[in-house]
Formats: sequence, C-alpha cells, structure tokens
Amino acid sequence: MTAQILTATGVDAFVAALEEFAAEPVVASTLVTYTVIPVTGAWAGRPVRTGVSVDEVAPWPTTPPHWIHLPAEVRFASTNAGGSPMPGWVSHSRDIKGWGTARSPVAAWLAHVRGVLGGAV
Amino acid sequence: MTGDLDVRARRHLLRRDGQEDVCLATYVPSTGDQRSTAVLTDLVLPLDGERRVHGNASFAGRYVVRAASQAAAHGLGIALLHSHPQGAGWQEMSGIDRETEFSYAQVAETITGYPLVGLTVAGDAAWSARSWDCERGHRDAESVRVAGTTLRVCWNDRLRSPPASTAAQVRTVSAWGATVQADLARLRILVVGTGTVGLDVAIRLVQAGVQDVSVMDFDTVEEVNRDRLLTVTRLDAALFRSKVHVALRAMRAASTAAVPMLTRFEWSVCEPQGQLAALDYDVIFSCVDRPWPRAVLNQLAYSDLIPVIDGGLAVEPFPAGGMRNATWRAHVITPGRPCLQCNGQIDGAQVARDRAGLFDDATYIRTAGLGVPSRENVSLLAPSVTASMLGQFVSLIVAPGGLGVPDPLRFSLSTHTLEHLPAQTHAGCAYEQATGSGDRRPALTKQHPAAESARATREAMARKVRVRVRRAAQDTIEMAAATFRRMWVGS
Repeated sequence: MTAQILTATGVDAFVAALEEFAAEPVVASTLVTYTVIPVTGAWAGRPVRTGVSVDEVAPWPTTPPHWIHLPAEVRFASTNAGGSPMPGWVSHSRDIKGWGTARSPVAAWLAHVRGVLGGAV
Repeated sequence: MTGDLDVRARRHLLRRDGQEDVCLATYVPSTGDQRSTAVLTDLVLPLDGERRVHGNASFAGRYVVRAASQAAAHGLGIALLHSHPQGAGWQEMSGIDRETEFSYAQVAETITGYPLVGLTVAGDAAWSARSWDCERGHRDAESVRVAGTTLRVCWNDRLRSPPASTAAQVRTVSAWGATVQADLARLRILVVGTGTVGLDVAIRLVQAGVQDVSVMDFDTVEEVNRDRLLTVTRLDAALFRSKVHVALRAMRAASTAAVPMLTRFEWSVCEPQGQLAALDYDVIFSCVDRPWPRAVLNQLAYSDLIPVIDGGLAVEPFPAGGMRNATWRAHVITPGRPCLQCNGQIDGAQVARDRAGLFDDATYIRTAGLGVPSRENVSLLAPSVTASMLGQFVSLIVAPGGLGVPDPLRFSLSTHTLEHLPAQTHAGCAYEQATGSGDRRPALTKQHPAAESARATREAMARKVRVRVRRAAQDTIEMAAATFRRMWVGS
C-alpha cells in the first residue's frame, strides 16, 4: 500500500469538497454554512442555507458531523433540537447512516442533509 | 513503514547480482510525547542516469533535488535508503555512507524544511536508520518498525538492548526462543482502558516479560467493578483510587522483567495529551468500549502505523433471565487488515455523537429517547476476550508459521463455533486512506469534559482528610509489603 498524501483535512477539506459541489460554503464564526436544494418536503426545489459546526468538521472526513444547523423557519414534525451560534437558527440531532461506505464523503453528507430536509413540514 | 513499502524497497535495494543500491523516499513526521518517528510514505525511485551501480552505488545530486522538490510540494521530508547486501542486523555506517548522507543533509533540509533521514537495509532484511542535523551530525534511531499483518521491529541494540531474561521467564522463553523473547520484551506497549479486559491484558504482558508497559484510563474504581476487576479491593473503591493506580500496583507485583518500566496515564486517549502519549508506543491494546476512543486508536493504527489490538464481549441475556448467547471477538487494526469502521465495530455517526459529548449528556439522552447502553459483563467470560486479544498479539509479533494476523475472529458460545469474519476495506474508508499521514492526521481528539470531571471528582475526594489518611496508610502497607518481598524473596 502506498500512503496517500493528504493535502487537506478538517474544515479546509470540507469547504473544498463543498465548493466542488457548488454548495457555496462560507466559514462564519464557528459554523461552516452552505446551500442545499431539497428534492422533497416543504422546501423542495428551494435553496436552503444550512450549516455544521467547525468543531464537528475538524476530523473530516474521518467522522461526519452530527448536528445540522438550520434557520428556525425550517421545521420538522419531530426533532431533537439544540442551540446554534447563528442568530435565528436551530440545530437538529441527526445520525447519518453507513458513514465510510461512500466513495465521496461530501456527496454522502449532502444526500443526508437533503434527506433530512425532505422531512421538513 | 508499511509492510508493502518494505517489500517494494527491498525489491529495489537488495539486487540479485549482490551489488549495493540506493533510492529515495518521502516521509512525514509522527511526533509523540517522547518519541519522534519518520513515517515513510512512498518511494521515489531513480530515473535513468540518476544513479550508478558499480559494486557500491552512487547517485547524481539532481536525483536528491528532484525527490526533495517533490516532497516539499506535499509538505514532506525525504529519506535516503541504501543496502548492505552482505550485512546482517542493525548496520553501522561506513565512512563513505556517512560522508554521502552528510553531504546531502543540508540540501534536503533546505528544500523540504525537514531533516534528512538515512536508512540502511541489510541482506537479512534488517533495517537501521538515523536522522541528520546539518550542524550536529547524525542521531541513530532506536528502532525501525515495519507494520503490516506482522509487526517487524529492527532494534538498535546499542540504544535499546535486549532485556536480561529472568528465572521466572524460563517457560515463556522456551515457547519461542531467546531471540523472539528479546524482541517481544523490548516493545513499548500501551493498554488503553483498564477495565476487566485491559487490566488482565496488562498483567499478562508484564508476566510474559515485556518490560515497558503503560496503562491509560481516566476512570475511578467503583464498588460495581469488583465483580470482575482483578486484584481490586473494597478499600480501593472506598478510597476512590484510579483504575490505573490499581493496574500499576497489580502489574508491579506480577512483572517478571529484571527492570520493569511501568507507567500510568490518567487521561483519555481522546484528549490531545492522551494521544500524544500513545504515539510513543509500538503496539496498543484497545480495551475501551466507547466509539470515540476506539476511533482515535483506529486512526493511529493507519496514520502512524501503530498496530492496535481490539476486542470485545457481547452478552445477550433473555429478558426473563437466562442467556441467549455470548460472543467475543478480537482483531488487529493494521495496514493490510480492515479498520474498525470497515469491519463493523465502530459507526461514524456514533463516533460523532460520542465526540460531541452526547453519551454523557443526560438531557440529550432523555429527549432523544435513547435507552441506557447495555453494560452486561461477565467475569467468567472476560478472560476469553483477553485470550483472544493476546492470541492476536502473538500472531502479530511472533507470527507462528509466518502467517501474521488473521481476519477478525469471533467465537459464539451458544454454538461453540469460531468464525473468521471476512471483512473488507470500503473504497471510501477515510481511516485507511490516511495511512502514513502522521502528524497531518485529521483532528479527532479534543477536550474531554467527562474525563476532566472524573479526575476532578477523584482529586476532590482525595483531599478529604478521611480519604487522605486511609490512602497514606494503604500506601505505607503496600510499600512495606514490597520491601518485605524484595528483602526476603529477592523480587
């Protein structure tokens, strides 16, 4: 096995990967925010700004983030919610399934977030 | 270096015609608390005209500049490798070797920013190594480690001499001979987690003569631990002793080494200082059950090429009493074998939850509707996990039959069957893709409030007069007993 050369990890790698998917990432204070367009749910077809905490992205792509930060107007029928450093935003506890099995971690992450947003009411 | 890189390097350097040869490699630093390691990442083989073989080997300066520039572009250092086909064991440098390496030390350091590392491979496949300082000359390495399905450590006897075997080790040595014992006893081994299995493993290692064994755990002994923790007393629980205190006491009593070097760390390996300490070791036993510390150790196995032996016990009771089944398994996490995530032992989502502190957050657990994690543990079955993990350790180090470590092994108690689990590495495995990333590994460690709280509580209890006095009395009695043993038994 030839060791791969890791050019970037953590926040830098996450942001670079999001840029490749044209998700318009921005590191704002302790959050990395970016845009996804859900295909189902109350926000289907509309761009939704979302984010994850910088601390949770530090081990990227070794482990995924847990909390998904969203504007408070994005609501769910049931959720385990927490605070967010972004004014007017709420974080939602969501596990991603099968982490580490996809070839592209960021594609898997964006699919997870779109899936979560599909449950918005 | 990985076993794969070792094979490729030797294929180039140990020629069929018996002449010496040379090549370059890139490396990344891996920095522990006490130890610095250069983790080789890839070979940079010579192009036509860049080196000449004429009994000895010589090379053009442009070869070094090309490799150093290539390394610098990726933030890596370079290593100069050459062979002594007629040599055996750790090699000293000849005058020409010394002059050649020294003459390129400045170039390598100027271009890459890292010191030049020199390696020599002997005809018997033994590696030796040193690091160069442009002004102060070279510093010999203590060992060269080749990690794969076996862990091959080439020792510099001058810096780490084989421990003298003792009368207590006669039967252990007879199992594999003095040479294997000398190599095994020199390993620096860390046991992370000193619960049921970890404590047992640590005691077995020092009994076998391993002289440098350390234990790491932030937890405190409780009354509920007494049904399975070896040597723990009611007094230890009453005096809020740390688990590593008890472990070290048991290890000192059990050690057969002439000069045991036993250390304890009251940290979690998830804390930066815990990981830093772990990077000083050659082999790590993972005797923890939480996903986060197992993920940290899983990472070190690949990023820093420190094999990790992991295992566990799962007990399935019937709700109304009785036992459906119990299974235990063990596996070695090392290049050439799938990681803990690929073999299904950790789940990235649960690692993220654990790292976020959610498993210690009662409010979150309540609102998320999570059940209490199962904690079934059976003193009568835990030694099977220990045995399984130690079997994997012997396969890794001694490699009976030359086979090295197997796939994960799982024993099912209800059917009495041993399964070889055919785990495969996933194409997108971030752990294994980070093989050889050394200090550039993604940052899984961070502040660990639960560990800090456990230590703070223990320290607060230790300040109480009642506890302080009783601890002092216990320490005095234990010291007197140790002195008595030394005087009357000579051990």
